Amino acid sequence: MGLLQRACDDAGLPTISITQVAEITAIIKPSRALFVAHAFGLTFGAVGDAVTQRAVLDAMLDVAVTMTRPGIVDSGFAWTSDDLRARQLRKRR
Amino acid sequence: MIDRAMELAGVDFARIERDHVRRNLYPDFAWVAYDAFSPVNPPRVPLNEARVGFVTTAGAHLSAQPPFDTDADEGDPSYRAFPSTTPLHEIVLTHGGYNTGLASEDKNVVLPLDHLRALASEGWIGAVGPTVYATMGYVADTEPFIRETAPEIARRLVEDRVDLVLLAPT
Repeated sequence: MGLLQRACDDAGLPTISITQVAEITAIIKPSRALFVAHAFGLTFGAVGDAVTQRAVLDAMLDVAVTMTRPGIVDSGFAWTSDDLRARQLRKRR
Repeated sequence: MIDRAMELAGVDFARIERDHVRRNLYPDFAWVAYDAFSPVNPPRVPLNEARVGFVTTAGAHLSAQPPFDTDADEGDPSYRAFPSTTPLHEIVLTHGGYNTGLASEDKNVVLPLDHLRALASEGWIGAVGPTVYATMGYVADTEPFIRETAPEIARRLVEDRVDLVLLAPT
């Protein structure tokens, strides 16, 4: 994701990405990244949770127009419904 | 640096993932590291006039397009492109790294095209870019991706005359 974003940045395109693992994005360093601590495979929210999905998209757009310096911004979105993300981060089923 | 102690609590996922890939799939794997962030390209137009492109690493493709290769230890550096007007039920998710069965129940969880199209119809953005570009997030051999795939997608987004690119991982 970050490598593709860097190519878009190099092409002069305004970009914003979601990162679900900020420490990896901090290695690759694309221009603008929004940290969303959702479970892998559920980037924008849970199945059927249209409110959160739309809110994450809205947050991306907001950061895209307000973030003037490169880096990673914390969206505040967290995965609280179960321990899926915690297990994913430890490579546990 | 983002650090939510409550959830990360000493978990270094970058190291865990790197070691997992090296041990099980691609021994030479390393994160591609850069010394500096890419510069921020400022918005070109107000959001309500902006043509917004979307890029996903969810392994999305049309059923008529070849699926991504989930068996290659080095990953699959290819990409698929399809119209942003495509109904979500016509899109397939092929990816070995997340639960595509669950995401396929509501593809907006990784590819929120319904919401993006609503943003355009409600006037929050000017339009959705004409084409969605999709890769499969697992690319352990990054050389062909950096040399060919990423610049080609960027070039096509420029040709699409998008004013802003949204990129979403899985």
